[in-house]
Amino acid sequence: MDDDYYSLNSILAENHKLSCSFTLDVEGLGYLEGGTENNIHQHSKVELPFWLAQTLSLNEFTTFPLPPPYSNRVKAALNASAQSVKLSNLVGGNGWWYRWGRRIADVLDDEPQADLLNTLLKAFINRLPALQDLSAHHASADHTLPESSTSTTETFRDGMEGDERELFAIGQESGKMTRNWYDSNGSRKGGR
Amino acid sequence: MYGDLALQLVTSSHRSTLSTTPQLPLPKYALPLILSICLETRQLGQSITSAAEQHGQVSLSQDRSLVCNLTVQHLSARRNKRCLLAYLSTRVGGIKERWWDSGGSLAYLLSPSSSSTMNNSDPSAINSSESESAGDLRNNLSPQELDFLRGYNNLMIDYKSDFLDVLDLTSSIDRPPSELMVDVRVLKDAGEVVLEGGEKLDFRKGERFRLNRSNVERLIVQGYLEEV
Repeated sequence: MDDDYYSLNSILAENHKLSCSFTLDVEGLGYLEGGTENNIHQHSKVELPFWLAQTLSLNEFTTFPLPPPYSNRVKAALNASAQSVKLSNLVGGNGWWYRWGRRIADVLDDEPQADLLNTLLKAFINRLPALQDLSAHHASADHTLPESSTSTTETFRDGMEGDERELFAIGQESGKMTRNWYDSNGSRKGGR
Repeated sequence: MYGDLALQLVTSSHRSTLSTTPQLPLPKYALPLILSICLETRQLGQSITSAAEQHGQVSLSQDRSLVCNLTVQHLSARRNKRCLLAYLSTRVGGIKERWWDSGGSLAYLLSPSSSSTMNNSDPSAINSSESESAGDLRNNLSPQELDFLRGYNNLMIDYKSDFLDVLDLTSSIDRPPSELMVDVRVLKDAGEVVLEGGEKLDFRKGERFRLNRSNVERLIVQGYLEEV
């Protein structure tokens, strides 16, 4: 999970919008609200992309509450069964729940920060066995049996977050390469 | 909104990294989009400097709404810069990957003419897509990227020439060679090829040869020959 300056994943994740409220009147930034107003008034709520919201919040031009993807409702669902929570549509098109959570945590104060980071960590740890299992066996899974749409593996596969999907692809790829290597070893011509 | 164009650039680049393999060419260098992003950034810069001059030092330190305004513009400009640099660095990484995959043969990467003739005499699907892409790669790179490719090629040749008698960095490592000589079958007409020892062989499609691995390594990578 790279937070590299040059990382495309990181750029896309930071683009996700955060709902903030301005602490002061600002002239000439009306376009941020999307309306026809020329100025922004104090206490008006605006959806800003995170790369704007981070610096503005650090300089106390805006404030924001804990955003919905990390609300208590999601936390409770994760505590109940981490593997059946759909993380893919919580944050943006590709689902960058973990990345965005880390960026938010950078801007929070100490206590909510520790809390949020803990939630992210526990969720990842709990989802990891299912992820590893799925990537190792997905190719050989029996698809002729109709899987009920409420089974945990089905929901987990749909709900995989962006970084989890990348790990899944890596797992599948390495499984395939290992199988190829085993097969190729046996079919060497002209025994030497 | 500022930064929308840059976002477009990054999403298209991200989508192409998900779908392309090193055999397919890089997507075309998005020059118009890049020029418009640069224009937007320059306009932001001018707006910031003119606002700063207009209001003077004192109000800059006291008028918080002005500072907020300028901060937003500055952040947008920085964002554009980051997106542009990430796009360029992804493409440069792709160019380097293709260079190593082709075994360091620059002529093969850049040759547009060989692609059209090879297509006709070539049954194997993999090879035809490779030869098409060899021509397309040159068209899809910007002039600066072509310069980079040539410079990188020269740099690598310089580097490996120091120890070429011991180790060839650009030879393939897919399978460790099990013996000195290798059986090959010709897939595409390669014409007369001069080997290391000065021998000349005529490679016509369908013929089989038994040669030193060092002679034919390059041709195997480029798809003219196939190991049997």
